[in-house]
Amino acid sequence: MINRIITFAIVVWPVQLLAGDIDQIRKLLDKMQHAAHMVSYDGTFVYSQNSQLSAMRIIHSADSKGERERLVSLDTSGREVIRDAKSVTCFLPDSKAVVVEKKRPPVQFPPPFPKNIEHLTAQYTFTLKGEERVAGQLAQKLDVQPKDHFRYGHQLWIDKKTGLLLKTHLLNEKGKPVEQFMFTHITYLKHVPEKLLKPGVDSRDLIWYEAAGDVNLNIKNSTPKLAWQVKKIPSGFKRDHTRKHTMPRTNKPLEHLVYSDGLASISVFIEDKKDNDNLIGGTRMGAVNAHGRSINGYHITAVGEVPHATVKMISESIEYKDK
Amino acid sequence: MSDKQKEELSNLMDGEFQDADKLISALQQDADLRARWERYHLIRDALGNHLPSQIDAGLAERISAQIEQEPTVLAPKRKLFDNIFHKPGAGLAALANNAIKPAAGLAIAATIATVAIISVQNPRQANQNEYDVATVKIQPKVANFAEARLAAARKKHIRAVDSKLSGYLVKHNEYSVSARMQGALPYMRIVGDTVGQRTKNDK
Repeated sequence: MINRIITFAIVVWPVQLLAGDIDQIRKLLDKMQHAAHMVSYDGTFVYSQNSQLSAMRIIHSADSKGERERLVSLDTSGREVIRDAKSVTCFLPDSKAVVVEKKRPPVQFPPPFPKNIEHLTAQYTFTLKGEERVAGQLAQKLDVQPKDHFRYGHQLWIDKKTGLLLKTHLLNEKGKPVEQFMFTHITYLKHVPEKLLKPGVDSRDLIWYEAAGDVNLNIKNSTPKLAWQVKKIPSGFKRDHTRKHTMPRTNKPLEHLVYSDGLASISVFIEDKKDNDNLIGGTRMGAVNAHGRSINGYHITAVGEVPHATVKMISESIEYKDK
Repeated sequence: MSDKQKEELSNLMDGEFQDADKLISALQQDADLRARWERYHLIRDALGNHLPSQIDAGLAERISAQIEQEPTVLAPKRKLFDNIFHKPGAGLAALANNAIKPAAGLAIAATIATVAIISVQNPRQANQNEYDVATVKIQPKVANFAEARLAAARKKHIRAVDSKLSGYLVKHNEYSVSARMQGALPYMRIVGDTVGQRTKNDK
């Protein structure tokens, strides 16, 4: 009898728990995504990747003017990123540059949640963990485990009260963290003073680069003969967007394909190969891997917060179809 | 603040820096250096696991006052530290053994205060990236003009590739799901990633 109860508990109970959990997880992710855009705060966080550490301050404002953000490096690089509804401005004093990216209109505010959770559970296992304190706030921990080696695992700590993501660990194929992020201090604000959103960098000696706005390829002003196809891609990744950009520094045209499994995204950039500043092979920026190669006078660069094997697979399997 | 000082600071944190007198007087003089020192500890502690829910910013001041009250000491007694901190770590022990000599006052107090709340781990790895290693190590050995130009060209090329990748990353962020879920956080990869600090990954 006892054996039967135990068997029942092992076989049936976790399934029932899962059904209830899924609902809770859906709500939690929904809340987190909403908070990322709708909550105003001033916080300091630490970020680590590849044994490098940096401390940054982030000021986020959501009010009648829309969503605005300022991200400031607290290290010597002096880098800053300022975002508003119209553009992203990167102040890179260590590269003597300011790079301005115009955003695509219209900005989604608030943005839609990445598909439905059923789509995600095909690729990932979600597990609710306990509660922990992060930066003085009570946070719910959520584990997201990939079902194959082509995407990263996540550990998320989400503020129970506001829904803001307070801490994350991105885990590689071996379960080792490739990127860690954690607020050490956070103040939620009703109103963010304007001066906190202004750049602190003296940009007089910097060179400004600005790109023209982006063009959606679906609007018919693209070169119709361009037809790129990715032949090999891990399951669950679907093509979201195809866009045409111009690069800020050179104003060269650039084709941009975006693939996503609902949680991880991969961008494929295709440029005609006129300069030599192209990435050949692999490199990484934190959890973001990139892989580049040249084909038929074009250069392909795949970029995404996925393991290197995934961007490599995609960039090496892309084919050009002349229709 | 020189790069050498930064490296020394890192070593001092690990208790591997023997000749600390000069660095400690520099810490006393240089507020930037002091701030960096505190930041190193804070970052490491934060990532090591958790910071205390409250950081006692007045601790440094109080230790400073206490040190001033001590009779003229060449080396403050271990007991002082043990009284103040229940868990003296490896870094603290090293400090007590090597670093703390005549220097006193705020700088050293700040030092101890930050040591007190940390878990000391491996510092910034010496071999942080191939690019830097390649360019930095080449420079002192440059024997002729051609080599110097080659090194400069290489550095320039790496910068150009890097800056192009940063551009790609900005565009990627604008469309990526994690950006939608986490707001500006994906941009920390750009802010936290200084030129030439990427890892080549030629698998």
